[in-house]
Amino acid sequence: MASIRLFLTLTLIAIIVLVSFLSSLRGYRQSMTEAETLFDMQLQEHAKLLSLADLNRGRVIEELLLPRQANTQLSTESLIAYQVFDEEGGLLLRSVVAPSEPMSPREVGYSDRNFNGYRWRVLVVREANNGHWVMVAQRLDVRYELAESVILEAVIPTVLGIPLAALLIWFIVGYGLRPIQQLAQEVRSREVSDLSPVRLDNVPRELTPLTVSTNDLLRRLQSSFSREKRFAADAAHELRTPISILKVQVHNLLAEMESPSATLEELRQGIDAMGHLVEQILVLNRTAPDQYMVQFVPIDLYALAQDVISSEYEQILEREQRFDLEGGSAVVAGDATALRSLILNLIGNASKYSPVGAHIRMRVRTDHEEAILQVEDSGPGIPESYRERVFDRFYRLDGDRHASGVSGSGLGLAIVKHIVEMHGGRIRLSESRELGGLCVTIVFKPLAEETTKGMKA
Amino acid sequence: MTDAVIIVLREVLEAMLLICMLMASSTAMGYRFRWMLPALALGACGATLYALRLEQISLAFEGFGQEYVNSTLLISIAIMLAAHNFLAVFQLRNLSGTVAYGPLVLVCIATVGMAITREGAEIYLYGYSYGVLAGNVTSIFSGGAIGLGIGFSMGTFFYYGLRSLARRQRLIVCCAVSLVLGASMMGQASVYLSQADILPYQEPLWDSSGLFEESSLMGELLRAAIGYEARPTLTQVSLYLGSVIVSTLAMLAGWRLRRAMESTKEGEADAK
Amino acid sequence: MKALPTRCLPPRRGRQGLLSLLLWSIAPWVYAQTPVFEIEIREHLFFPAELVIPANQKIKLIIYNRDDTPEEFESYELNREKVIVGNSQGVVFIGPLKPGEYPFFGEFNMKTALGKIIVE
Repeated sequence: MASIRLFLTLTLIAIIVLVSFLSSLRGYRQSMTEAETLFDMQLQEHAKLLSLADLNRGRVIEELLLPRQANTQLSTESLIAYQVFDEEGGLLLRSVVAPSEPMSPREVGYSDRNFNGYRWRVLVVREANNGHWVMVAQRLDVRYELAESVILEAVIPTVLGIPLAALLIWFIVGYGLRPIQQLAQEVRSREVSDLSPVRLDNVPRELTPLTVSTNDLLRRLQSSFSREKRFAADAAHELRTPISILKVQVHNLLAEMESPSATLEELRQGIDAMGHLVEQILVLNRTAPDQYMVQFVPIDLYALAQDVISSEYEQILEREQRFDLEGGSAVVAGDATALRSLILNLIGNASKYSPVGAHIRMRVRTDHEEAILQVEDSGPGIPESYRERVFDRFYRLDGDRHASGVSGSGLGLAIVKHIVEMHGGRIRLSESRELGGLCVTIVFKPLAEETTKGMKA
Repeated sequence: MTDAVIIVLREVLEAMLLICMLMASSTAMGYRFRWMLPALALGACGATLYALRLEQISLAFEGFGQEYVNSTLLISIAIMLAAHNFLAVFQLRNLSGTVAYGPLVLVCIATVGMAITREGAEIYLYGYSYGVLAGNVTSIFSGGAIGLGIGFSMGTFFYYGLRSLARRQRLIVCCAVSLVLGASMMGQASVYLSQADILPYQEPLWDSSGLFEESSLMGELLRAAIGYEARPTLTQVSLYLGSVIVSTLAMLAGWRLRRAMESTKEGEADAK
Repeated sequence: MKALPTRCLPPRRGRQGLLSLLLWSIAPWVYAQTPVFEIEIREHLFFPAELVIPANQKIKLIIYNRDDTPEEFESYELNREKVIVGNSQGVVFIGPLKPGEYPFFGEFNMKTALGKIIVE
């Protein structure tokens, strides 16, 4: 929730601000004290000069002792006011800006006083030789202004530099955190089935353990996945031989028996079902999209469908169902065995799950260069909420208590989906508008695109 | 320049402590900073209005309008902070559960809005009349920037310090900070009340200015953090402690209420 | 739970404090009897910079700000803090105080606006 970038930027700026501002504050204060000492020394110089002067009573003189400066505003303000009193307190000499009354009580040393509407720094000196009181004063606000204008020059760059530093820190922190963002992006953008290791250039040392352990995890996942897949295929393959031996033996047994046995006939049907299941498992694995490595050739779906129907017509006749094949030639790039499996499964499902006397219709057509295969039936259909799940392996509607009462492998639609994906097509289940049962629509990729791709592969 | 630093820093620091505490407590209770914008807007409006109308306000109530407004604001903030503690403790027991944010968001908006009204008015007044009108732009604004910078930096550390705690501990620390801040508000309110002669003047109970001068940086920090006063009076200390007690009672009440609600909900099995 | 408030106050003076708090908060009639003193602010300076007031008596201090800029009258020793807008005035009550010196300053001009109240 909290952003590392924001945290780093804010705290780094805070540290810089605290250190630089506090130190410039300290610098400011020290410089101000220094300046005050300097100004005080200046007052002392003036007092010394005045105490040396030969004085007559009651003179007012211009600030002769000060050098006139070009900057008139500052020079008049920075003038030093002074008074000299004799031992009895009689005014001997004063400058124009100084009042006639003593600027300060007769206490030797520095003090801050208000007069003439300003606050002044006053130095009182007692001349030991003649007992004269010399009072020299300088406006405090002018002193501060003078000193501050100089010192501020040093402080301002620090203040102005902070926003720039903040901007730089924001970008630099962002740049430094880029590998993390890249890693996150790399992991986020991959496909669910993509278990290949994460590859990043220049992985920083801090992130190396993370990428290493992530890749390790991915590798283990990958190997356990393929192990599981291979196991099913291997098992099915191994089961083929014993099943065909069983088939032969049941066949022989039936031939040997003089009167037909109902039990034996059931056994034969069971072994056939088992054989079918094993074949389906093998097809499913062979057609898994990541397993399939076959060059596609142009195939006419209509012709293929005709071929499949003629071989399956027996089952349809048996159930007294009506079957129509409509449409015309539609060529797709594909694998003949797989597509045959596809059509076989679609027709088989439609026939199996539709009641006796049902109507099944297959349509093949081309629309916008896309070949479309549609199978509709007048059976019970599949409720909308189950239409996603029926593609899962071994998933069967209502378990084994399907209304049709027929047993199936539960792999048919999974195989269909595999084959459609393998051919880069889309499959959609819906309700048949005309027949009322299930409507399976498969849209294949346009031919041109697929063949060129197939050529390359 | 140092004047500007101190004036701005003292106000910003107090506001930052309050805001950062509420931010940390918001994160602990799991709601975001959606109170922030309304609170800042409210504070900005309040501060401008207060600063512009300060003369009329000052002359009202026989010349003590300022004291009335300030102490009202301070006492309200203290009450809001106690309310925050009540609600926070009320939530403390079910941090993972759903939280009714409405009252908390309102408390945050009110607290921060009022705090900024008070602190902002002084900064506005000072910055505008001394910086803009009197033309000391460089001096006042660099001083102000330094004060602002130091205040914000300290706030940042305070906030991330609180963020580094686990949620439960963070909320407890926030309540403690809120308790102290509320007490410090009450302490300050008592000064205004005594200034307006609503509370009597009293001899200070002690004088710790030798230890920490109020005008020093450390003094300002302590003042903002815990309402430090070098020469507090008896009423001030009483109000300070009174606020601590009220806030503690509010937390106890929150705890009790929560427990009562839980035990009625979950039956007697939960009572043990 | 009822006993909590008194228990947490300083033991001996707690009740007294609460009592006086109650008493004083309902006694605004004191305004009339208090002597009034005045201070002016001109050019960020206090006039007079040193104000002498009687000991052990509460006074009312009126501060006139003759500048265009606002000023904050503040004193740590007196525990007072009040903003006075430009060309306006402000009132604070002070004391009763023990004899001694109580410095105050204008917070917006801490270098020059300095003064003290001398209690005699």
